[in-house]
Amino acid sequence: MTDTTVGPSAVTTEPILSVEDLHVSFGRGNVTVQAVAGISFAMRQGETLGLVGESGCGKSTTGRAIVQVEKATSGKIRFGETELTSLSRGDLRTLRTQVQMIFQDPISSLNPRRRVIDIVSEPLNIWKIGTKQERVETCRAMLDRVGIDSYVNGSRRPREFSGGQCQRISIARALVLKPKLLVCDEIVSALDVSVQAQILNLLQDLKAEYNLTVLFIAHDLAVVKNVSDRVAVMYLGRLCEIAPSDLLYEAPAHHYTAALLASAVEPDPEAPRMAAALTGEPPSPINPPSGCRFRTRCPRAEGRCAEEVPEMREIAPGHQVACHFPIGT
Amino acid sequence: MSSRRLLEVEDLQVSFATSRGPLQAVQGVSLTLDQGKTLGIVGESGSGKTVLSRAIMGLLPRATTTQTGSVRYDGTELLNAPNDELRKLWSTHIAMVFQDPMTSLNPVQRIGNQITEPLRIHLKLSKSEAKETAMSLLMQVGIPSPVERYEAYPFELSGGMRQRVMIAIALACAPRLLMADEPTTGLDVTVQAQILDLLSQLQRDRDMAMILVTHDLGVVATRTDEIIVMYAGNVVERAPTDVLFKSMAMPYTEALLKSTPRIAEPSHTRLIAIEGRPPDLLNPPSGCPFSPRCPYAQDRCHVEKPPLVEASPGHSYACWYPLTAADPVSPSPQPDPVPA
Repeated sequence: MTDTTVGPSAVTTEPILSVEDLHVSFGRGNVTVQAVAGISFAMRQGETLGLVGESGCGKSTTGRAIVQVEKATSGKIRFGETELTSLSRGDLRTLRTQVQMIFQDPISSLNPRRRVIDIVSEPLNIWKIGTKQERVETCRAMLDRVGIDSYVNGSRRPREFSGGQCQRISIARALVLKPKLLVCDEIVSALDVSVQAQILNLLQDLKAEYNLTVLFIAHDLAVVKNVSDRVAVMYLGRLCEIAPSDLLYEAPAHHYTAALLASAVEPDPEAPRMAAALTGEPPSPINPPSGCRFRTRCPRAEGRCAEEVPEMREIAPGHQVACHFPIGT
Repeated sequence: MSSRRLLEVEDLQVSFATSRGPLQAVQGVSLTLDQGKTLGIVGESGSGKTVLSRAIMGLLPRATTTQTGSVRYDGTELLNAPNDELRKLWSTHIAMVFQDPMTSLNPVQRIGNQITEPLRIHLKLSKSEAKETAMSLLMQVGIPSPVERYEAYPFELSGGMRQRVMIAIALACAPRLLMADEPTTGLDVTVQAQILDLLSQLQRDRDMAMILVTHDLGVVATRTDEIIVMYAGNVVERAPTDVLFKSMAMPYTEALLKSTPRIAEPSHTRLIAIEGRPPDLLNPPSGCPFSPRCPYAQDRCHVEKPPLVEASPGHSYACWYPLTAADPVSPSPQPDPVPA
């Protein structure tokens, strides 16, 4: 391959998904954990939005709330013309033909007792799409497309496959109904580097072929940059910053984003090595800090940060940050 | 500081007895490590890196493994040495930090007990001396409010804190060689950076040798003196860290690096994936183990297994058609023009 860069995919301006002031809380009585504490963002048709953050920041919960696996405590999630938070169970089932999710653990997210061909054809059977023969053919084509030879492997069960192959099967299952929105939750974090690259490349190709909109949730900053058109950074249930990928990594405006980038390791001995930018660990989401949630670890925090929650504001076209004292201003 | 040879591994072979026959997990690995130096062992799952580190420690089950070759620590042969011999070296000379800090700590023992145990057994410290040392260790590894943490159980701590405790236990008896097997896998990036910095700093302070086992080239790039790349139980390349990244010779090393996404590259850079999967070690391919996936493989690669040859001082690789072809001692003639 001579040209190693592929331009960002065609993105229109029409939002396919918009999330407004989403809250998700767990627990009852006195102890509640605000896993997601009021986040808003929109995704345009055809774009890949990366969602990064450390464990416990609420990124997975956000993804799960969008596909309605987790119930939103409050807030709005609009998919096209449909408001998802108030859908009936029946309508929700119909919706799931258009919104699909791929999970982290490729092996445990497939039913161990079923054959691969049955796993992938189940969505088609439920919706009775096409004749029986057509369904089988669609499935075989889908499996072949993700790199699983359907004639050799169709009758095998998940345990006979490696993690990378199981993730390919999960992708086939998610795409067989031709959804519009795909939520990928840490889909490559259990895979070896060489297999990870295969899956990421496959996802990029399928995204173009199926005109998918992808919410890509991951903790690995390099992986997220590679696949995303825009990246949103989350900390302790709130969004810190959203910007086009290259801009975010080049000129982070939020101190947390900068700290994350400084902590990342690159396979290059000459890469500038910064001292660990953050000390300690995120505070508990049961009792989050007042004001800006990052202030307890922020090098720039002042009195105002404890009193006033920083609102998301636009500091450059497409670049939003929730900080009273963003970097570079 | 002096740089004396601390560890010498020669032609180490480890095979497991399985129901489908013997599995050669480590196939003739040799390495050396000097005092105060850091060696990185890099490989994907199934490459034998963890088995190698456990064999060096003497932690593999004897009943089901066959281990041949030699592992000498400071002149003492460790391989197949009786357990009470090894026990004298564990903790005081060689210590290990394991990957999973949740399952490696005893869940029903307080943190304090787990740190003082080696101090009391190996160094014969009194209870109060041991407690004092444990407190200072907790401080050294950066655990806030050590007095409370001393009484805590593992489940009360976060993953990063548990890994710090593991490091404190490993360092308790001031070992001269620290084995760290994927010490930061599963931790968040900010915590990973903290733990890696901590290990580097403690290593410098104590002039300790360290073996850092990882799947992540990023982890070893800036924190090691020398790197060994493993594939399917074999060392396929070995070089000083800067040499390895600058002039890698083994196509597998190159492929591993090219398939790793980088922050320094623009978004949507197409990754160069390695097609296929690592070989089945119960039924390994003939010839070079990487040949079925190697973009440069030629006929010879599929038939004849290349030996690990030292092509320039300190830089060895096992390849018939290495990438840096200018080596005069290269074991093969120049390759034909290779398809990209």
